[in-house]
Amino acid sequence: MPLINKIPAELNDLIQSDPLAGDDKGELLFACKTDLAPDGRIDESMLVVTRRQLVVATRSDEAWTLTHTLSLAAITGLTVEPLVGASALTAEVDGSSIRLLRYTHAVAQDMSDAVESLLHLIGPDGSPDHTEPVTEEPVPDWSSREAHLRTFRRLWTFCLPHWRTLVIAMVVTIAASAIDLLPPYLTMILVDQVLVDQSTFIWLPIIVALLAVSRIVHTGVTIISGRMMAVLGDRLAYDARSELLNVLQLLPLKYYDMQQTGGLMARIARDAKSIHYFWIDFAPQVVQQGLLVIGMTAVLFYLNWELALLVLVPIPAIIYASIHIKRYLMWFYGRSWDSWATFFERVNDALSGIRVVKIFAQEKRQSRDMQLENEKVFTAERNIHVRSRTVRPLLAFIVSVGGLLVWWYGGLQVQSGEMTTGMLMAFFLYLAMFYSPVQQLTSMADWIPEMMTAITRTFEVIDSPIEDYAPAGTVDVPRFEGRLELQDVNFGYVAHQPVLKGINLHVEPGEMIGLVGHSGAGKSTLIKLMCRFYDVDGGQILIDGIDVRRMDLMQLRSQIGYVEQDPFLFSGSVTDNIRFGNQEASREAIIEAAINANAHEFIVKLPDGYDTSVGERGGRLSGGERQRVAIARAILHDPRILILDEPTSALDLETEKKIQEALGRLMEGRTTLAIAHRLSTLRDADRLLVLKNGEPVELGTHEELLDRQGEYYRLVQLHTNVSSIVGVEG
Amino acid sequence: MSFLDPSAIRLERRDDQPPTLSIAGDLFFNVKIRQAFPLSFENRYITFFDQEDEYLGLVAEPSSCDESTFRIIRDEIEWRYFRPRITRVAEMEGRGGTSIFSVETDRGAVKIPMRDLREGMMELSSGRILITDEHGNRYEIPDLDRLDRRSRRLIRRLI
Repeated sequence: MPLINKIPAELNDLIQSDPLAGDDKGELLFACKTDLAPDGRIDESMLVVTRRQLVVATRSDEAWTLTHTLSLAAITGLTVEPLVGASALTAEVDGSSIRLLRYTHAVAQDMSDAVESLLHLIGPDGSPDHTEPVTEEPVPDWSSREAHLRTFRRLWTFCLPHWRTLVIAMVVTIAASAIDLLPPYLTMILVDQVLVDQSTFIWLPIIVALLAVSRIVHTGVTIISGRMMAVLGDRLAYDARSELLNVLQLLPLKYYDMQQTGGLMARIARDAKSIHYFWIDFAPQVVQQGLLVIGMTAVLFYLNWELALLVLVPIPAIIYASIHIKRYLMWFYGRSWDSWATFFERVNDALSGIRVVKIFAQEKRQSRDMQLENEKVFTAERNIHVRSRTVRPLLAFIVSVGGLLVWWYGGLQVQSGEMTTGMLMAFFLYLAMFYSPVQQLTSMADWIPEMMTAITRTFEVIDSPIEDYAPAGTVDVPRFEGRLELQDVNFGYVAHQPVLKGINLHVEPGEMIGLVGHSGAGKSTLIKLMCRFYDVDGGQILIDGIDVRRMDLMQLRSQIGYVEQDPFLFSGSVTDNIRFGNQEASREAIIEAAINANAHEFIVKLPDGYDTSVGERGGRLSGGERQRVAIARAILHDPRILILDEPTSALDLETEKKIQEALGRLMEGRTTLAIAHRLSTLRDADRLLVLKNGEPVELGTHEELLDRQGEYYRLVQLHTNVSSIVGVEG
Repeated sequence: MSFLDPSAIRLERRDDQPPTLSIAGDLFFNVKIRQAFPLSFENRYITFFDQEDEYLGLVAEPSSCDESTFRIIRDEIEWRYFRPRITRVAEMEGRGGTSIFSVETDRGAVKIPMRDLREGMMELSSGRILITDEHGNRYEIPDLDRLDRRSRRLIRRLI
C-alpha cells in the first residue's frame, strides 16, 4: 500500500490533542502504514506527517499510542539503516540520533517513498510544497473472482478482432444443438404411432429418412463449426504469442533479473497455448453443451413435468461437487506448473552449461539433479491425474441417480397408462443426452483452473509495465556532444540496500574515465545506470546537461555503445553481428569497422569469411575473436558515449595487443567510461574513479593516485603482483 | 593497406603455380586469394594474402582490374572454393538416421549423405540453398526455381 492521506479518526484526534506538540500541528500531509511495533511485535504502526510534525504511532489492543512526536524543523537528517529482515528509520535531532521505528521489507518501498518525501520537509528550510503527490485512496485489493473476471474480459478483447468468425461459428453451433434435439422426438413418434399400427407403417421409411437427414446435417454442421473454431483458436494463440514476444523485448531489464529464462520459455510454449484451448475446446463446448441442457430441459418439461423434476434432482449435487472440485484441483495445477517451469530451467541450465559439466565430470550428478526435477513433475502430474480420475466417477455416480428415479417413476406411469412406452423411451434418450452435457460441463471443472492459471499468467506478462521509452516532456537530443555529469547519484536494487552512494563525476566530451575498484564496489551498477537499464534512486545523471530520464530511451541508447566483458553474439553470420546496431551499413563500412577492430584479418581467413555463421552465442569463435567482433559492432554503431567493460581474462599477448589497439581506435573522440582491469588502460585513462563499497574514494590520474598511496595504490600493487605471476601485464 | 585500388594491382601466373601479385610495384609471390563474403557477395570483396598468410589487402570491385588479373582472380576463387552446383535431385532416401541425396551437379553426379537436415540445409536468400553434408562438403542450389519439378518438390519438403 502506498502513501495514504487518511488516517484513522481516533489517531487523528490523538495527534491533535497531544499536549507535548503544542497547538500548531498543521494539516495532515501524508501517512505511511508500517508493520512492526516498537517492541518488535508484528502490529500496525504508522508514520504520520503533518505540515509541521512527524508523528510515529503504534497500535496495541485496538488503541493507538504516540511513540514519537518531532517537529519537522528540528530534524536535521533521516537515515534508513538496513537490518536483517527489517530496516530502521532514524532521525537526527539536536545532534543525537533517535530511532523512530522498524519495519519489514514488505513495506520497505512505501517507507522509502515516505522518507524521500520527508527529506524535502525536514530542517529549518523544509517546505511542504515539494512533496510528491500521494495516492487518494488505497488501491483496492483484487479478489480472485475479480481477477478471473478481468481475465475473461482480456480474453474477450483478444477475440474482438475476429468477432465475425466467432458469431458465425456460434450460430452454427447453436444449429447443431437444435438438430440434436430432434432424433429422440422422432423415436417417440416411431414407437408410439408407427410401430403399433399396420396402417401407419408407411411412415416408417419417412421417419427413418428424417433421422438419417438429421444425423447427416448434424455431422456437417459439427465439422463446419469445429473447423472454424480450430482456425480461430490457432489464430488467437498466435496473437497471444506475438504479443508475448513483443512485450518480452520491451520489458525492463529489472524484469529479467527476477525471472529465469526457462520459466519464460514455458510461458511462451505452454501458457499461450491455453488461449487456444479456451477458444477451441472450452468455449464452443460450453456454448453447445449449455444450449443442449437448456433446450433439453424445456423438452423434458414439455413431455412430462413430473418426470422432468425428478431428472433435475441430482443437479444441485453435481454443481456443488464441481465447484468444490475446482477449488480442490486448482492448487494441484499450480504445483504442476511450477514443477514444469523448474524442470525446464534445470534442463536448460544443464544443456547450456554442458561443457562445464563435462570438464568437472559432473554428468552423473547433473543427471541425478535433473532426475529429481523429473520426479517432482511426475509427482505433481500424478497428484492431478489420480485426483481427477477419482472425482469424475464419483460425479458420474451422482448423475446416475437421476436415471434410477426415472425408471422407477416412469415405470409406474407407463403401468398405470398415464404415459406411453414411446415417451418413456424418448425420455431416456433425452436423459442420456441431458446428463452427458451436464457431466461434460462439470468435467470442464477439471480444466477451468488449469486454463485460467495459464491464461492469467500469460496476461501477467503481457500486461507487465514495459520500459518508458518516451517519457512525457522528452527533450530531443539527436547527437550528443558527450558531456557527462553524475550528481549525487544514489541507487540500490532493493529499496533498503544502497549499492551506490553519493557519486559525483564530471566528464568532458572525449575524456576517458577508468572505473576502478574491487568486485562488488559498484562499477557494473554504475554502468547499468548509464545505459538507463535502471533509474537512479537519488540525484541525477546528465548528458550535455539534460537528465537522462528526460530523454527518449531509443535516442539515448542509440548513442551509447557498450562492449561487454564477455560479449554476446547472436547466432547468424559475422556480418549480421557487426551490423547489429546499424542494419543499413554497407559492406565497405562493415569491412572498415572490422579492420579498425583488428578483426578483418581473422574473419577473411575463415572459410566462409564474413558469411561465417558464429553459432549459438558466438560459440564457434574464440574469446578474443568474439571480443573483436563486438568491438567492430560498437565501432559501426558509432556511439557518442562508450561504455566498456574490459575483459578480465588473460588472452595471449598477440591477441591482447590487437584488442588494445582496437579499443584505442574505438575510444578515439568518444567520451568513454571503462571498467578497467589492465594496467595499460589505467595508464591511458584521463582520470580514474576509485569506488569502494559503492562510494567514490579517489579521483585523479594514474600518477596522482599512485603518489597518494591510498586505495588505488593498494589495488595496483595487488594487480601487479597477480599480473607478474600470469605474465600478461599490459 | 585496407582497400586496394584495382588499377594499382596486377596478377600474373605461370601454369600450375600460385599467382604473383604486384601492388604498386611491390611483388608478392605465391599469394592466396580469398573471398570476404563467399556466400553473399561472391564476385566482390576479394582479399589477398602473401605466402606467409599475412594479410595484404582487399579489392572491393575485382571486375575493375585489368582483364587478365580479373581472370586469374576468378580461377583462383574457383580453385579455392569447391562448391558444386546442383542441377538435379534424382532421389532422396533415408537410411538409419542419415538421408542420402542422389544429385547431379555441374561437376558430376554425387551422393550427399546428411545427418541433420535442419542444420545442413541453409537458405542463403530466397531460392538459393547451401547444403553441407555430414563430411562438411558444400553444395549449392543457386536458384531452386530453375530446377525441374521433381527436384524442387524433394527440396521444398525439407526447407
